[in-house]
Amino acid sequence: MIILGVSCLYHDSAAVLLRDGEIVAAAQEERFTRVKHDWSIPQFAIEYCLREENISHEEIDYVIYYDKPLLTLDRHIKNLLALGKDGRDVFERMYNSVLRDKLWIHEKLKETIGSLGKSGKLLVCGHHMSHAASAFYPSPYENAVIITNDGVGEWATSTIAVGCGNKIKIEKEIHYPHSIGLLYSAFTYYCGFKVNSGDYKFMGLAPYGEPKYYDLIKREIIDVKGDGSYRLNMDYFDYQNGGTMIKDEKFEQLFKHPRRKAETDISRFYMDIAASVQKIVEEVLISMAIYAKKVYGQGIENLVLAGGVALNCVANGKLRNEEIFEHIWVQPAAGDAGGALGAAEYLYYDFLGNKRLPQSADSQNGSYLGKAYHEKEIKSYLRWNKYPFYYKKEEQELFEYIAGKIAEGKVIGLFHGRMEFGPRALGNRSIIADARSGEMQSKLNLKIKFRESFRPFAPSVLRERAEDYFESKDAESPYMLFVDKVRAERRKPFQLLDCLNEENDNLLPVVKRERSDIPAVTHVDYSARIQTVDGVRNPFYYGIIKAFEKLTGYGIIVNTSFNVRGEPIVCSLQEAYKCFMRTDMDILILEKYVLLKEEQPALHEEGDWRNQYGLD
Amino acid sequence: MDSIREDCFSSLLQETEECKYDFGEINSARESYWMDTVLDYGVEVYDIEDVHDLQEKIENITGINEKSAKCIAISAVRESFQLSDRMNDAEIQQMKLPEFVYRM
Repeated sequence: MIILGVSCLYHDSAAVLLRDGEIVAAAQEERFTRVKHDWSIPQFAIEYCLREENISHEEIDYVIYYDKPLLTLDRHIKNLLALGKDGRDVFERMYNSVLRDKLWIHEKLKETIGSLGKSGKLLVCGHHMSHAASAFYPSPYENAVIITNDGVGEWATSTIAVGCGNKIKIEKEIHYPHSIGLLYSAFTYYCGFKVNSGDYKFMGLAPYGEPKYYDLIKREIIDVKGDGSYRLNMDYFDYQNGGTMIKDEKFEQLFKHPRRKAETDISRFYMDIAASVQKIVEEVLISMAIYAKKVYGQGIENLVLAGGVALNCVANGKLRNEEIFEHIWVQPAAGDAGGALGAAEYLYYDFLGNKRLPQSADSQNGSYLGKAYHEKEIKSYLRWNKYPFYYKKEEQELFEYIAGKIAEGKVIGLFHGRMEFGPRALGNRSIIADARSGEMQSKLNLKIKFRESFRPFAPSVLRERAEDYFESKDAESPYMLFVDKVRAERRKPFQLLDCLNEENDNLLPVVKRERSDIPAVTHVDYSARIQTVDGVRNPFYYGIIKAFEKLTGYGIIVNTSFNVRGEPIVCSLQEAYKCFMRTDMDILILEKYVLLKEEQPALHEEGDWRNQYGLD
Repeated sequence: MDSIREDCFSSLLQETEECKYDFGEINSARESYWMDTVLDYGVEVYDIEDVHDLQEKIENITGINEKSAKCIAISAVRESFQLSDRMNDAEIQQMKLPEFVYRM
């Protein structure tokens, strides 16, 4: 049985193909169109999924969309009814997005795919059910409590559900406009970052600050109950009026600071705001988990998470440390892209009643579900373009070569195997470097990624060595979705406040202060967003880190996504090569082909390539 | 602002006088803001047969009156036609759309 799951028309469009319940292909549209967070109909992702399985649209049994358009329309109309004559902007938004696009999703998909499966009818699944399903079905658990949090689906913004065998039941929910996801986005916006793409920056900024505004925000803007449920004081927000995220004047009045202008220096105030909001999000998630365990989790020791808020790996790490549940699994594509997967799996298991057999690891296949290139294609590409290269036939020789170059301080673009599904690069479309280098964070930020200096980098660590570097015991994090603390004995004395004064705008000196013996991946609060790498999910990447450990004694390296600021992660050989040539990367690995920067012909491009991608 | 769009907005505005919706405010006396799930988030077939079918679905799901639902349905159908070249003007004219589309 072939099922095609689709998410689109919000943000992060994606397509997923299931064959007899197995995830055989999944991709985000942004990788093909090169438009970050692309929300359009995922025609290229769909085309890729079908090509990957070598099938035509006529062989698809069902096509399912991850949202219910009529429920979304209901929300827009109720929003309008709440505003009355002030609802003109909401009306325009509804008119342009729902009436024009979302209601006609069945026609648009039919036109794109060629048909809607053998039944000829599009199936739809609730937005948060899709999220819940994306968290539960691929997880390794027979049963689990499921918590979803995002900006908004049709109506729901937070849900608590229970998954058992092949069934899911949503028990509780919170409705728009009250949304922990939109609260986070609102403050991201207030601090001068873009909603969606700036959420990670906001999270990365939090450790520089202190939660000085925690009480004020809880007193004035959000009421959080002991069970994790919450409501927002809508007087401070503008999204429900069809405007921007917040009412600038109300925020300025409350915090005595204006909204930060994008790309300007970041003062301590905004760092403290980020820390305060982060603390509230953590409190909400932990309280929800305690409540869910108490009411729905008797005898259930597993918690699974999805929805965009589940990408907050700092909160996930805190939640895990609370040990409310014995095990936690987070969907790697926790945002809307994963909704395509959840909708397809919900159809297969719950609706069609197919038996589910959880796998001991999980059934996400390391999230390596996208396009791969064969060696023949790579060789043809390199020869056709006359790019000088070396070929390393033996894998072990290649691993040792890469390890040696990393140890020399080289920065390497790694393009191998199937592209990752979800926002994280997990070793197949990654830029890798030496975590021991004190200069590497600044170098990667400023000369490779061309992004803000304060942003931290994540480590990839051998699964069996994770405890040597980080505090958590037996904590697996194959999808880079949990933050952990660097072990105390590895830390170097560092007082953040010594480097920052009340209005210090320059974070670079802070970044350059070494905080451990793995400084490139140690954030200012000694935290790190870790990826544990094992030999089953990704033997190639594991082999590289293992060789690095043999050479240096360190089973850990820096891993950042293979792209520059504002650019979606590279998808094709051409994009990988261009990114390599445009930046200060030293070496490019395309499967077993090795390209050295100094041997490549100069890249001639018209205009400044940086204008190609908007700032994120 | 074209006339169909304006009529649609006006109709919904009239609705707000009869059927005000409340987002819910912070209430410190409440113990919880969780709601039991009553909406159906499960799998269903999604299709729109024609403008009447859409109008009926909008009425059922939103609870708004017939006139507003009709107005939204017509606007949506018109938008879908305008955005695709699959139907020409003659075909649109042949559809049995409610009278006031032509009035506008």
